Amino acid sequence: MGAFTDVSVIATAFGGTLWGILGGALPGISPSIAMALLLPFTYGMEPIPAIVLLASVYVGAEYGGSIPAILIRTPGTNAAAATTLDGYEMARQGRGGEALGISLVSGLVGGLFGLGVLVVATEPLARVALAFTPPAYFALAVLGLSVIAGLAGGALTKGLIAASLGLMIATVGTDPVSGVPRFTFGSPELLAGIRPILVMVGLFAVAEMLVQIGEPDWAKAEARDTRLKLPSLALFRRLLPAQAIGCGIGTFEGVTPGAGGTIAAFMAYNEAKRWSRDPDAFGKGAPEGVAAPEAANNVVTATALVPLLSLGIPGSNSAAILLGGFLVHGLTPGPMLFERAPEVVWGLYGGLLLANIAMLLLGLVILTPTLWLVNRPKPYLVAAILALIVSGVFAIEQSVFDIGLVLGFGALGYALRWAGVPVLPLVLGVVLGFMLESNYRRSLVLSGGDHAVFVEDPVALGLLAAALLLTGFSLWREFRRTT
Amino acid sequence: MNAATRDITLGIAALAVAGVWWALAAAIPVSLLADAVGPGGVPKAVAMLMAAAGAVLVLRSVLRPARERPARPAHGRAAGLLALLLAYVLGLPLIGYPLALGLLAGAVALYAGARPGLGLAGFAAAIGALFWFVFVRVMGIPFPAGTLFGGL
Repeated sequence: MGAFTDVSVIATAFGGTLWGILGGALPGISPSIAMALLLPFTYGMEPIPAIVLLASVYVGAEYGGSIPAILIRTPGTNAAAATTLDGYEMARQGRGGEALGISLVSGLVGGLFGLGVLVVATEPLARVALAFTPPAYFALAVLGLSVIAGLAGGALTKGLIAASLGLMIATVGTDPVSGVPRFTFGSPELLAGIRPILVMVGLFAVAEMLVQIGEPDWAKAEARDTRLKLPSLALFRRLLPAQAIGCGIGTFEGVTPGAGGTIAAFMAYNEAKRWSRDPDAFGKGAPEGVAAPEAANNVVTATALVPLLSLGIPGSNSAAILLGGFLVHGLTPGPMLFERAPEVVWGLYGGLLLANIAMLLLGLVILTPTLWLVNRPKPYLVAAILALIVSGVFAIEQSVFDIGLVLGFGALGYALRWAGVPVLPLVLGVVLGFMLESNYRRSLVLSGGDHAVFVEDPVALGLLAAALLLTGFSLWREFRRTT
Repeated sequence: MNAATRDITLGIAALAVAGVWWALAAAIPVSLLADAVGPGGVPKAVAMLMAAAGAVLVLRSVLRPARERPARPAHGRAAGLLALLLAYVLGLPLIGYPLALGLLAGAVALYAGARPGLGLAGFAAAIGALFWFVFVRVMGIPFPAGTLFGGL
């Protein structure tokens, strides 16, 4: 651990975290892109600083996505989409500084909890990843979709329409089994499908700007936060149950390759709402609505590395870049890594710890100026936000077509808001659609078309039962609310 | 438009989208590698789900219409902003990234209520220069340089 008293390693961690926060805060620059941009610089570095650098960018970027999600309703990363719900509402009420403080502290709690899980339970948790067969992945996607009733905010039928629309968008592109193009209308740009981040930026950010342009001024609050406000001890205690829900769900989703922070954040939000004493406050600026998803997606940051370290399976794009960082230095993640290069594994753990500390300290420094920035006069702010959106979207694939898609989703989001249709089920449909379809069909291929495979697999059966319970509970609550 | 009419319109639109999606799914060619479900199987199931939800929404709105009047948003203003953004998309390959972005920022700020003048021009120039520096110089992202100026 001597490396972590080395000033150059500490500086690397702070630099990486700062780069990650900035990258994560820019819509279109995903954590994996922010990491990939720095990967070439690690060639000439020693293994430990190289891994610390990549891990720091990863942690910073996963956190950074929440900043624009809260302040301008633009999720910087997929996983930050759930944070827009109450975070942006708090910012609209003039409580942006409080929302940023809750996000920072909950992110820290989640990051440290996830790191603890990673350190003490990597090997046993790896068995969870191995237990996941295609039927179990299908059931996991169904479990994710079961939160739609809770996210529809009392408009279940409209929520189902939105979810169907999301699932339709998810089927655009090359068929996952036979490779046939579907719904591409001859466009090569659509062959790879539509990235969820494009849908989210359109539905949340562009739609919000289209609404705001028709309003005389920002909805004025009595007093706007102009400084970052960390939660008081009393508020922190109040947020603990929501953070605990986020930590639990984030641990489970993180160790499952491919599940990711987005599903974890939405599920954590929904469960925090379900178990809250005041569920009606969610969506109207509830601090728990920021704490739960932020804790969840920051736990995933660490726990998503469990399959990478223990099995050599990168469960996400970011983990794949980190894998690249290991390979550059002649190290192969997997069961042997702990025996062959334990110092690098501990280097990674130490890097994650340093990055979480850096995230807190850098957050304390940069969030107040960020708040100042978003309190500028509306005409200039709208223009700057749109400039950021169109630039960030182009940066993903260097595609003008993608900007057009985002504008189309912006118009769709505007129309859905006017029609009173909740957009979150749509987002969930887009995020889970591919996982749902590909694993459903793979399962049937493996079972020779026998649907019993979904109840014969114990993990799938358990997840489907949980999905049934959650849906039943939500429907029962909806029924009680309307009668 | 009251809430009931709006919901009926939405329900009918959902039925129409579901119908079109089903037709498109049915027309997907089935390859020799296809499984029993086929490339159109899941899209058809999703279309059925949407059609069912649309039908329920129409029926419910007819039998038990919602009474509230939804707010009247400024559709014209939104359409104007969308037009400015589309102009950016069309102009970007022609005039290049920094100029197109500066013009977009200036036009949007003006449209949103900024006073015309040197301040606005300075803002537009600053946005074009700052974003070009961050995205092109620092991150190395190859934005279009503009065919009018000999770039790609």
